[in-house]
Amino acid sequence: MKRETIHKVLRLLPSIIILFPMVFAACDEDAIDSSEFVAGEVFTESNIRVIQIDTITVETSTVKFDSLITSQSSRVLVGKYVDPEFGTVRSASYFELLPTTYTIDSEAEFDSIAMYLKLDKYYYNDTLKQNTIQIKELNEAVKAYNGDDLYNTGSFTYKEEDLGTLSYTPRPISSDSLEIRLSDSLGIDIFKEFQEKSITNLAEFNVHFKGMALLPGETDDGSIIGFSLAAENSYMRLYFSTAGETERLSNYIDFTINTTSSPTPFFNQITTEDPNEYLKTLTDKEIELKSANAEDRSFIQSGVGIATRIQFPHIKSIYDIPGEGTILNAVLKLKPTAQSFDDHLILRDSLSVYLVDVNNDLTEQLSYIAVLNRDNQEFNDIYYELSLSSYIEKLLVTERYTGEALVLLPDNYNSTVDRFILNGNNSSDYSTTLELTYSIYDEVEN
Amino acid sequence: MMKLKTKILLFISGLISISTFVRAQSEGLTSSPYSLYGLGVINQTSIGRSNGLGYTGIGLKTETEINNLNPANFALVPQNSFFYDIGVTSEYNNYSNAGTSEGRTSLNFSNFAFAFRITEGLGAGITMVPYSDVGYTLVGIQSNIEGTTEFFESNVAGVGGLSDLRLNLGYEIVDNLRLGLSTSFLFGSIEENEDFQITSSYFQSTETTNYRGIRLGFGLQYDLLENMTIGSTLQFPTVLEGTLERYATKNLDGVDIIVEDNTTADASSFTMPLEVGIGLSGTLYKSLTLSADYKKNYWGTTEQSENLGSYVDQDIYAFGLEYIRSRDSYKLSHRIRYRAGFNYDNGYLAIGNTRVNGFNLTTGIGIPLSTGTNSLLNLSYSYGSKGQIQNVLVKEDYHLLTLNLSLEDLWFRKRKIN
Repeated sequence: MKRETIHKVLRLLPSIIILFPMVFAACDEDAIDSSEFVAGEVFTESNIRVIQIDTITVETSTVKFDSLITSQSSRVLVGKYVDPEFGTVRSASYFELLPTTYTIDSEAEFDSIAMYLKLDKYYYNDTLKQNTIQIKELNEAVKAYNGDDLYNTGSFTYKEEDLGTLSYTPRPISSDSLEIRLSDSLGIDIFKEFQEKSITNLAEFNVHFKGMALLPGETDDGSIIGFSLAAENSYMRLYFSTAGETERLSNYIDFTINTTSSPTPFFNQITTEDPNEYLKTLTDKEIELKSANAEDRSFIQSGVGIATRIQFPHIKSIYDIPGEGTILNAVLKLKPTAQSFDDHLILRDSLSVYLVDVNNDLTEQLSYIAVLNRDNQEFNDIYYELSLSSYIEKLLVTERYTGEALVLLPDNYNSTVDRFILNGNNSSDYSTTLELTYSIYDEVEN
Repeated sequence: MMKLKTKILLFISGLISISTFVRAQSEGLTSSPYSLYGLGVINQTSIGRSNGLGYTGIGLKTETEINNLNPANFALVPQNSFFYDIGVTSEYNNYSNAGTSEGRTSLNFSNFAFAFRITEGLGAGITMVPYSDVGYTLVGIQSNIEGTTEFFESNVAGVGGLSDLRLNLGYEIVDNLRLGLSTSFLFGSIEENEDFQITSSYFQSTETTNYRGIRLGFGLQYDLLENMTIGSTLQFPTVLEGTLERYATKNLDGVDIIVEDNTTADASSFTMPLEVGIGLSGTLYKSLTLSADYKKNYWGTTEQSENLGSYVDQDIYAFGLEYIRSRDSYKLSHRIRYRAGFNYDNGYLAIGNTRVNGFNLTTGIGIPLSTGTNSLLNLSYSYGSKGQIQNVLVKEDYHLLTLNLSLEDLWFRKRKIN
């Protein structure tokens, strides 16, 4: 009897053991992970050390690409100014025109012809000064010999006399449209060819009129202005009219900038002359002008392809810190050289980051952006902030030295003439630095 | 003989299944912020009735159940008796500091034990009790980013604990003097997590430390009078060897990166102190049992330190009382045991020179399950408090329920009757 009782209990044991926890588990509403208990900092501290280091060497230098493809520019750039460091910066634009139609009524009579250019809000340097635009008729087609893209260094001959010229004070923000009256002889010529049906397609038109160049005035020292490439904004317009029953009926044909043919018969010719002695040494893209040899400065100029090249040759010295650790954040702070910028020679809000190989050929654009931090501008503390965590991580895990480097250029570098001067790593007071956040999760016990 | 083997096999399989159960429950073993120190919160609960007696038992002489607090008592397992004990505990812990307060319920397997007699005057037992429990989650721990004036905030969490599988032998040297020997196999793992975010980067590390070690202990019980026993115990210091496995990940620019994957390293070993205890028990008027223990654990000499806490010598004073109306009554209600106890512990940890001391008030009841055996259903409730709020420490108030099935099986008796 008594033994049986025990055996009954023993048989029940498993269910008791399982039920008991379940009853209590039901009361346990908060999972252990959902705790919000804040222990005082005296109660315990982190087992992990986090250090910020800004002594890693940043090797900056300046390189100049041989040329940039400017037939892919997103705008017409015309203007000229003299830069204290980069020399005389000049941009002219060359393009072919594309008639919207080739038919003119036989009764019509020529009125006038003009070029319309709409400012696209891009400008560089002083827009209070007067600029000149000279329009020339080209002697040759806007085409590279090998049918390739056109580069900023390209050039084509044009006729001596102006088709038209205009001096103006740019107001880029209000997006004015410029009207430049062109010579009637050009207008009459095209008018007749169309009316007489001598020109009925683009090929015939191009033989007759190869294109035009928009040149800045020889003596200009003002600004470089961007104009829209869009058909509805910038065009040559041929006006004519026909006699109606009571009054004359006006009509016109537009000739837009041809960016649809391939290769594009359009490009911006962007050149500099007489830059400072350091930049003069950059005659080949493989020459690296170390910041140490240029008063601890590096240079960037879009349009002509001057770029700042950045390497971290001693990045692995981070592992000299005792203990097991890993980087958690890497921010490059690039300091623009004091007095190298002002209200005219402005700093743009961002710079793009590219990768170059050991020959300084651009290989890819990285997703990083260097953003201008103006928070403490009033204290002359203004810098580009570039978060590079994953790039630095890659450098740290890469076994082999590849000679790859970062290159800074403005976004849209083939459509602008922005320039920047940045301090190197050795400036006594305002150096470019790499701020690494490094966490040590296992201290070496010695 | 076959039967004995089968039973032992059954027990071993039971042991295995219970340890699996423990592992499955490991999320909620304890919920004490103090468990982040050392090997966790050292388990006080024991086996059977001592949970209701303020955790006393060194000097408690018993022939009717397992007393795991002194191996010498195993000498008293009666002939043909086989004792089992299975226990579970549930704890509600409310912990608070100057700023916050939080309550948590946790559930725990507390022990599995059995004891049997080998020969006249020689008894043995195998017990498995949790040695320590780890279960904490603390958020917003601020630390300086070295080289700046800024801080980062990390969250830490720990889970795990150590088990103590103990083989006990008790031998009756002379009629009133018993000597015990115990061998503890201490094993278990503690997992610690820490994670934090700095700017847009996130870091998380998980360290799992596996500890194992053997600890020897002795016990003595001497009957001063027929109803008065004095006992003493000694646990030798030992070193638990630890191996560490680390897993660390981070997230940089939105990409998860494995920093370390199961790197195994030798963790620093953990030293267990010399522990001595002395206890006295006596029975008055056949129905009142008094028990008192004093234990001293020499943590100070282990010369270990935590990042903010240090180990100090620990004193534990405990007192317990049990009342039974009539041991031999046929009326079940007369054989119910009523218990009460008190336990004061000045703590083995000092944080910023403040000792983490605590006390427990216990009460319990033992309900007989049958008339012919000493099987009992032991229930106990304990209220305890630990630490204090002085902008440094965390104060804990906990309510602990234990349920022990302390069973006796009589073997070979049937055969004898036949």
